[in-house]
Amino acid sequence: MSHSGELLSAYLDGELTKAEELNVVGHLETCTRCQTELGDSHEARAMVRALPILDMPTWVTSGVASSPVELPVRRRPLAWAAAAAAAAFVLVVGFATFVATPPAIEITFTEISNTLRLPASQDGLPPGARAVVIARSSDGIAE
Amino acid sequence: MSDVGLTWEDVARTHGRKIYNFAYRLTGNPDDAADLAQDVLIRVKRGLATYQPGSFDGWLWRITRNAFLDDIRRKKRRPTVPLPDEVDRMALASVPAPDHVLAQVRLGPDVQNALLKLPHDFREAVVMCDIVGLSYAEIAGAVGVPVGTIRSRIHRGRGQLREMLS
Ligand SMILES: [Zn+2]
Repeated sequence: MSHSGELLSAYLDGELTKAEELNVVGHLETCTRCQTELGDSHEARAMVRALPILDMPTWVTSGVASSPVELPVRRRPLAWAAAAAAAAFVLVVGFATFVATPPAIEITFTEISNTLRLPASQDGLPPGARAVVIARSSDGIAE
Repeated sequence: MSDVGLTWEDVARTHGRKIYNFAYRLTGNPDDAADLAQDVLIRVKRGLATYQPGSFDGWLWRITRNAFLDDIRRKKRRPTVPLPDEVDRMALASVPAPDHVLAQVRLGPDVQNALLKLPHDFREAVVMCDIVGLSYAEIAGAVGVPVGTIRSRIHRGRGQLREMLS
């Protein structure tokens, strides 16, 4: 008869079907090897269960409360800035090109803003100015 | 719990501690665990808008697991050894006791170190089972593998723990 093996932990946890359980119980009556293995699983489980349960620090939830729903939130600004510098590649190709000389490809600041999820504002740009921005980002969001 | 009108605050209240302890036992580091718990709750906050009432635990622990795996990929972090802050709480270990009792009051840091030495899949299954208290079916749902695989991972994980701690 084959040994119970991985059924033993499931038996311990009450995770066997009735039929499986009957088989394991029957086997355990005569097999010392499986009795020992069951004892080992029981002890390991007891040791893990005896680990103290710690309280979650309260700052965790205050950080969640202040996070916007729609944007990814980076918890560590400095670490994120470094990662962003490596991952995101933002290049301002042209800036302040006047209407009198339209570029070959026209991209308005508003379109760029929408794409990049930046505030859609042209405040501070000279009248008629266009910015051409090429953005690449590993996760599709350049910030 | 009723899934209707669930808020992230509800989830933090009912599951925050479990999420934090899951993360702590997987990383062995309280600061990383707190960061991870926050990441999970932020994902919950964003995800609840589109959450379809159903297996809440499956949904939550899938999110938790993915947050942990994303974090590993992002930081290429290895698990760290635990701080000795658990020693006080396990002071019983200094009391002479029969072998079978000693095994159960073994110092927390020893057990945590042994957990960190397990292959990730085994550690994840053991922690979900014995720290979080999920059923095998819930673990299988969260991890995305058959229940038989979880059976095997838990049993082999416990076997390795017992070996390391004997
Ligand atoms: Zn046997």
